[in-house]
Amino acid sequence: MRKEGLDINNDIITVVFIACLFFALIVSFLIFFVVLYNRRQARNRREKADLQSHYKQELLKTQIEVQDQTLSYISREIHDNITQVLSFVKLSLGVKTADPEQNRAKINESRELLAQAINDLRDLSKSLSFDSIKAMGLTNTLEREIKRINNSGLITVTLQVDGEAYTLGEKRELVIFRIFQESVNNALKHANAKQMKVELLYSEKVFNLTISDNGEGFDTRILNDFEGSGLNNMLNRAKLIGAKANIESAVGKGCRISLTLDEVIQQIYADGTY
Amino acid sequence: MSVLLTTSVVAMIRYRYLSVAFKSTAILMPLTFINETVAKILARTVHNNLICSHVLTPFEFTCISLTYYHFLKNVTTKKAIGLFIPIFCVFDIINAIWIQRGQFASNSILTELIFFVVYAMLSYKQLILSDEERSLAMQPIFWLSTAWLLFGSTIFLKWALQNYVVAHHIKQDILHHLLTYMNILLYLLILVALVIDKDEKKRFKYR
Repeated sequence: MRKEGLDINNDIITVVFIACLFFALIVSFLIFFVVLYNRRQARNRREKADLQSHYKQELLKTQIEVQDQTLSYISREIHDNITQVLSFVKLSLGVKTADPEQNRAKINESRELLAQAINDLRDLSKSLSFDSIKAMGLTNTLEREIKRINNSGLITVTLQVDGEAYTLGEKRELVIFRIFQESVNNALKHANAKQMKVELLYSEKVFNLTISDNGEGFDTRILNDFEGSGLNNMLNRAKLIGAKANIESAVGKGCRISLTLDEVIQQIYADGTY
Repeated sequence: MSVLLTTSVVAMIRYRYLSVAFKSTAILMPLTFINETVAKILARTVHNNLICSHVLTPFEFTCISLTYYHFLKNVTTKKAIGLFIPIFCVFDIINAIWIQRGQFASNSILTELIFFVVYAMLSYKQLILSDEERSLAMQPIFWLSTAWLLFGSTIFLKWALQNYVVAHHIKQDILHHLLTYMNILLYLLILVALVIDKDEKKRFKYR
C-alpha cells in the first residue's frame, strides 16, 4: 500500500517535471526569439542610419556639383559675353569725334549694348539652379536650362512634358536635375551629340524621365569597368532617391537614359525626410 | 469567463480602429463568449454541452486563419490558408456528424491547434525577417502568436498527459487547473493584441 503511494507520488513528480520542462522549452524559445528580434532591429537601425548618412553626403555632393556647374557657366558668361560687351562700350565711349551725329549714334549703340549686358546679368542672377529648383520646380528649371543650352548653339535640346506636373520633393528634383546636367555634359564632351530629347511623364503613380541623344554611343559593358564614372553615379543617385534608372546605348546608336519613380518603391521614402 | 467577457467588450469597442487582420479576431471573441455562455447553460440544464465545441471550432479556425491570412505576406502561404479554411470547415462538419458525434470535438480542436502553432511560427519568422521598427511589445501579432503557441502547446501536453494520468489513476486536478490558467492567459494575450492593434494604412503621396 505504501509502495503504491510512493509510485503515485513518483508519477506525479514525473508529470510535473515533464510539464515544467515543456514550459521551460517554450519560454526559452520565446526569450530566444525576443533577443534575436531585438538584435536584428538594432542592426536594421544601424544600417538605416548609415544609409541616411550616405544619402545626406551624396545629396550634399550633388548640391555642390550643381553649384559648380552653375558657377562655371556664370564665369564663362561673364568672361565671354558681358566683359566683351562692356569692353566694347568702354572703347566705343573712349573714342571722341567732332561730328555730334556720330557721337549720338555711338552713345545710342552703347546704351543698347549696356541694356543687353544688363539683361544678360539679370538672366545670370536667375541661374542659381538649386534655389530655382526649390522655387520653380523641376519642369520650369529644366525648361530654362534647356533654353540656355539651346542658345549656346552647341546642341539642340527638346523638352516634352506629358501629364500634369507635380512636385517630387526638392531633394529628389535636385538629384534628377543633376542627372540631366550630367547627361548633357556627357552628350557634349564624350558623345559629340547634336540633338537631345528630354521627356517627362507625370502619371498618377509613376514619374518617368527619359533623356536620349544622337551621339556616338558606347558599349554599356564599360559601366561595369568604371564604377566611379559619371554614368554609374547617375545610377547610384537614382537608386538613392528610390528611383529605377536604366542606361541603354550601343556604339554609333546614341544613348538613352530613363529614370522611373514608382509610388510603390517610394513607400519607404515616404517619411518626409527625402 | 470574466477575462473572456472583458476581451469581447474591448474587441467590440475597438473594432473600427483595428486592422483588417485583427477585425476577424475581434469578431471571434464575442462568438466565443456566447458559445461559452451557452455551454454553461447546457451543462446546467441538459448536462451535456459537447455540441458547443463542434459549433465553435469552425468559426475559431476561420477567424484566426483570416487574421494570419491578412498578416502573412507569403503568397503561397496565403493561398494555402485560403484553401485550408473551407477544407477544415467541411472536415469539422464530417467530424461532428459522423466521427465524433456526441463526443468532445478533440479531432477538430487538435487539428486546428496544430495549424495555429504553425501560423504562429510562420508569423515569428516573418517578424524576424521584416525591417519593422516597432518594438516587439507593440506588435499585436506577436502577442496573438504567443497566445496560440502557449495555448496550443499546452493543450497538446495536457492531452498527452491525460492518458498517462488516467492510466495511473492520478488526480486530474492539476491538468484542469493548467487548462484554466492557459485559457485565462490566451484571452489576456489576445486582449493585449486587440488593445495595441490599430489600422495604420497610409497612402503615399509625393510631397
